[in-house]
Amino acid sequence: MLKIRKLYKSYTFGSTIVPVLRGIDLDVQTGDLLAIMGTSGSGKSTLMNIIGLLDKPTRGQYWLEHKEIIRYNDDELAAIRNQKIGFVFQSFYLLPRFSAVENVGYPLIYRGISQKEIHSRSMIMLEKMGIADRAKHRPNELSGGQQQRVAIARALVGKPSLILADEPTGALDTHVSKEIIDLFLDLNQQEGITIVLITHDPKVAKQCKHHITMEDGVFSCY
Amino acid sequence: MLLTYIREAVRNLYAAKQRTFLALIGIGIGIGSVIALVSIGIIWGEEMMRGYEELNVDMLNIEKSWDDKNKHTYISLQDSVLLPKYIRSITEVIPTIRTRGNYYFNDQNDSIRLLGITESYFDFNKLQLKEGRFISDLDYNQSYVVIGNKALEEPPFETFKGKLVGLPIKIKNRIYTIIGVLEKNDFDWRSNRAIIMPISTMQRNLRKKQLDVIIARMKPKVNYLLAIEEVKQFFAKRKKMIVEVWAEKEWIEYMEKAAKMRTLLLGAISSISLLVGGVGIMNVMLTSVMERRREIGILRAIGARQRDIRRQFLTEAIILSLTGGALGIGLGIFASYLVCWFNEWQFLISNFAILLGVGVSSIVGIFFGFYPAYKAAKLNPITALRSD
Repeated sequence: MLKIRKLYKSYTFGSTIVPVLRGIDLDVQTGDLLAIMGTSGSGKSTLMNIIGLLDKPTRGQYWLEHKEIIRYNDDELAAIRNQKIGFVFQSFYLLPRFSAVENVGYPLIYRGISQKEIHSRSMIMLEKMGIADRAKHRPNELSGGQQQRVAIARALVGKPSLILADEPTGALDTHVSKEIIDLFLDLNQQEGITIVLITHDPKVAKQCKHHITMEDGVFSCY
Repeated sequence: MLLTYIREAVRNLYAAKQRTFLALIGIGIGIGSVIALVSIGIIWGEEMMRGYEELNVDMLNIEKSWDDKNKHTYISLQDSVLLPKYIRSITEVIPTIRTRGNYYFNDQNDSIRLLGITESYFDFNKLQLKEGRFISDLDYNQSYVVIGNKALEEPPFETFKGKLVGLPIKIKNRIYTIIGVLEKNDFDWRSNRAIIMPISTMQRNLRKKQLDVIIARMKPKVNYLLAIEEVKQFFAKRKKMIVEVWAEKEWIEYMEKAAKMRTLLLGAISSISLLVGGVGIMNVMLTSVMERRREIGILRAIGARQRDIRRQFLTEAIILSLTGGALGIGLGIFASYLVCWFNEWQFLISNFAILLGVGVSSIVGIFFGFYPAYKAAKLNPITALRSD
C-alpha cells in the first residue's frame, strides 16, 4: 500500500533548522489498521501530512500504491488526494455554510460528477453512518459525534484506498469516542479499508492491528 | 462545477452580508457614476447634434479666397451654372451676392444687408414665410424684395404698424415692392438680417456682377473631401482662381468629435470612483480569504487544486462586481434621467453605457479579484488547515 524509506523533514525558521522527522521507515499493507502514538511534537502529525500528500519531505522516498510521490506536481497530488485518500481530522473540519449531505459530497465535485449522482452517493454514506436524518443540517446544528460521522462519510464517499485519521476522537467524549473507534474497526474489518490513525489513547492503539510510537521524529518501537 | 462555484460564492457573500453590502455600494456607485456620466455625455452630444441635423448636411460653401492671385478675377454667374455640369457630385447650386445698402422706408433712412439669391435658397435653408411669398426664378429682374425676420427689428420697420406686403421700399434710390416677410429661423442668420431680392435684379440694379458665395448641394453620401477637391480644381483650371470650399459636414464632424471627447473625459473622471469601488472589492475578498483560510485548507485536503481555489474566489469577486454593476446600471440610468429632466433634454437609455457597465464590472471583478484569489490558491494547505 505505502512504503516509506529514510524520510526526513525539517522546518527552517530564519537561520535555525528544526528537524521533525529523522529517518522514518514505514510499510503499510493493504487492509492494515495502523495506530501511530506519540507525544505532541514527536512529529506524528508531520508524518501524517506527508503521507496525506499535504506536505513534502525534505529528503527520502515515499511510494503510494507503487507510485513514487516525488514525481508528481501540485495538481496531480491534489487529484491523488481526491481519489485515493480520505482525511478525518480531530476538529472535523467541515465547511460551515454547507449541509451535512453537501459536505459529504464535496470531494466528488472535483471529479466532475453530476449533482444528482453526488447527492445520492452522499446520502448512501450518511445512511451508512446512521445520520441520514441529519442530512439537511449544517455542522453547527450537529453534535460532535455527528459531525465526525459526517467527516468520516466525506472521507469514504470517494472510495479511497487509504483513510488518514488525525486524532479523530480527540474532541469527543469517551462514550462517543468509542462509537467512532468502533466505526473505524468495522470499516477495516468488514470492508478491508486501509486506515492509519493517530491517537493519544493506548487503549485505542491496542485495538488496532498494529501500533507504533513516535519519539523525536523516529519510531521508538515497531 | 461552475454551478458549484456560483452556489458557494453566493452563500459566502450572503454569509458576510454586511461586508458584501458595503462592497456592493462601493462598486455600485463606481459603475453607476461611469454609466451616468457616459450616458450624460452621449445624451448631451445627441442633444447638440439634434440642432445640427436641421442643417444641410450635403451643403458646400464656395468662396473666393483672399489671395493676391485672385485680385483680377471673380466668381461669375456663369461659373455657378457650369459647376453642376462639370462636377457630378454636385446636384444643384445657389449663387448668392451679398452687399450692404441704404434704404428708405416709413419716412426713415437706414442701412442694411442686401442678399441676392435664387428661388431654391428658400427650401435649401428651410425658410418659412410669415407673410406673402418668396422670390421666384420667374421674378427675373423684377424689383421685388422679401424682408428677413430680424430686419424687422430695425427702426424703420419696428415703428411701422400694419401689413408690409405690397408696400413700396426705396433701396439705393430705386423703388421696390415688398412681396413677403420671413418667419423667424435659427439657422440661417444671413437671410434673417437681410433684405432679399432676385440675384438678377441685384446684378442689374446694384451693379455688382461678382458672386460672393456659391452654395452647392452634393448628392447624399458623397465623400465631401473629394467634392471639395473637384471644386477647387474646377476653378483652378477654368480661371486660375483659388477658392475656399467649406462643407457643412466638416462642422458637424467636428462637433461630433468634440462630443466624443467630452464623453471620454466624463468617463475618465468617473472611472476614479470605479477604481475606489474596485479596491473595495479587493479589500472584501482579501478579508474573506484571511477568514476562510481553514476552509481553503479543507478543500485542498479533499482534493481541490490551486486553480479550483483560485476560480472559487474569482467567481466570488466577479459575482460581487456584477451585482454591483447591475446596481450601478440602475443608479447610473436614474442619475442620467435626473440630469435630462433638469436640462429638459430628451432622455435615452444608451445601450453602449449598459454594455460598458456590464463589461467594466466584470473586468473590475477579474482585475481586483485576481490577487486575493491568487493568494488563496497559493496558501500552504497545512498552514491553512491549522489556522483558525
